[in-house]
Amino acid sequence: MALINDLNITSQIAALANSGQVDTNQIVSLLNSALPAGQQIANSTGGVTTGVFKRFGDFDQVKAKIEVVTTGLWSGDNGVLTTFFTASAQDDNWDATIKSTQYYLNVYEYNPQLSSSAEINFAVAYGHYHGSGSRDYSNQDTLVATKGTYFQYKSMLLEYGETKFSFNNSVGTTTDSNDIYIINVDRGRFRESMDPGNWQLSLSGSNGLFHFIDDSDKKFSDTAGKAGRVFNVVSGSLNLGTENLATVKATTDATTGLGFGKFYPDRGIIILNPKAVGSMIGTVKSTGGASLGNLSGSLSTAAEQYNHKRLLYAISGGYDGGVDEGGFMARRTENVSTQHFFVRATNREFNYSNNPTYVNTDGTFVETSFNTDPYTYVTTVGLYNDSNELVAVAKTSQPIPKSFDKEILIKVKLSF
Amino acid sequence: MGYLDNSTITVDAILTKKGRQKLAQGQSLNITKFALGDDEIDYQLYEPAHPKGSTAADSAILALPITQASPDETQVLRYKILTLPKGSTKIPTVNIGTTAISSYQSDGGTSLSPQTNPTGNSSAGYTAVLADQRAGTLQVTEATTGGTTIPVFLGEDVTSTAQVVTGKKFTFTPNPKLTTDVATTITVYGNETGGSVSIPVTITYKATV
Repeated sequence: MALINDLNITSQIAALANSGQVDTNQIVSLLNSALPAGQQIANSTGGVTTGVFKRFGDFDQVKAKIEVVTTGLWSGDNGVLTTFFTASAQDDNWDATIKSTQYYLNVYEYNPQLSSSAEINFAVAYGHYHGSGSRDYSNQDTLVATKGTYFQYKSMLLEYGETKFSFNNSVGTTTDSNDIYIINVDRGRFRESMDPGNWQLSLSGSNGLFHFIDDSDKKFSDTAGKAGRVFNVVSGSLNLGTENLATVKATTDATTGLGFGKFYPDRGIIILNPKAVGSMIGTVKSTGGASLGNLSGSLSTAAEQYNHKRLLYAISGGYDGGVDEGGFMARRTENVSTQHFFVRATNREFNYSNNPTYVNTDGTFVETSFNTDPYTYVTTVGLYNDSNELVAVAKTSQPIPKSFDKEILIKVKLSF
Repeated sequence: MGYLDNSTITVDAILTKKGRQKLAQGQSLNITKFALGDDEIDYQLYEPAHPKGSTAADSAILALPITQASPDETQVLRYKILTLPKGSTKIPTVNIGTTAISSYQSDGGTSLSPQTNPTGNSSAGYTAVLADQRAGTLQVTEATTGGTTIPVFLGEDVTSTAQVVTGKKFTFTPNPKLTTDVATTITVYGNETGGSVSIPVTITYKATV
């Protein structure tokens, strides 16, 4: 029992009683405003009310809960991509008349010519500050695609005033780079953000198979620039399947002393330094065995060099059948807003049904035993607003029996 | 010593089209209440004479695999489970005193006085839906005391052509400007019990001399 000595409350209750129309919910609300937590009265709406709706009580809802949800980045929410296809319409013969080929290549997990379910997972591109790798202006039809690409990503990712992508070096400073490789994850795949500390890119070439990760060490960085958080790309391994944390083997290439790249999780973009990865990986071969040249790229301007093709084959060659953690592993992370509702049906509630197989036309029960012991079977939970609009719906995995000797509690999770 | 049954009933809800529409418009879902449904259950599967005994009477129902939720709010929760006093022997049924309306466009109004048998909807009243408002007009002749709304959500395709009114008694008046025959329905929902009744409405155009 709790005593209320608040004259303001008691006078309000008296005024309510004298109004001629008593709303029990208002009385409960007034009383609860003066009672401490734990001694408050359950709202009458939580009681038994004839009808099809039941109002949630104050403690039946957990709102505005944010959950971090991580899932595999690639098609089908897979965490590892092991097959890499391009669309032949874009890829065939590296035809310069197909302009997009000069800029980027979309990469699918299946051959899009053979599978209608093939989805774009990411794109690869190459950019050069001066336009090397593309035909120069001696050819009037040139698009100078590599220059356009470099400046496009510079505008997107670098701060105003920064003229070039700059990567860490072995002496603790940074070195500007005239060229970049870009891995641009499809927007629909990374949604909100790639998951820092949970991706591993494998590149293969004449020097062997090498893995690259970011240096976030599974923590969120304080470095947040124009493009959001930025991490360095390093040589290392996620060490999946072991109790070990991700290990960083090298932050720069041993030969050139240059950093490997930058990772922009909030943009779904990995920038690689061609000189560093080229030095480490070496020469790249096509699936047919033909040499495509060093991964550092060709700077020739006599014709389109399609350097991003070298990156593509370095990636596709990076899957060695699962022997050495190959493939492109990655996850995405999302902040999902969730609400939880506790749907409580007490023993005296929800024991009859409007289902036409439950009731005869005169309202009597089809099953006569329901006269004394009615049963219903819950398959659906509908969440409504005050206008009786059904805004969310949930299904149970199997029918849940309900009768006068049963109570049910269903936790409904709504994420959006 | 066995293991305790740790199964809990936790279900994931999906937004209906209406819910997504509200979020897209920057509105809050403002969920305040729930209803339970048994759409997929056919109670003829309940077999009190089950050879395994009464405890197995609902075994066929309980074994049903349940389909996933549909985001179409007009297709789910069609049959709602309701709360009635213990000992009830009837589900409240709604009756409006007539089984059909058939008249000319120039005829007078028809009174609709919904009743719930044995009892119910006395406070929140009824919601009457004229599916095709070209046929005429529904007027509320006795209003409810409090603001109530329809216990089922009508899809946008319905509400765009329908007239929806809430009250205790209604009058349907044919559209005198009608120049062609119109056949439609009037459905009356009990705002508390969820029960409903639907009658055909036929308005025949008769040329005046």
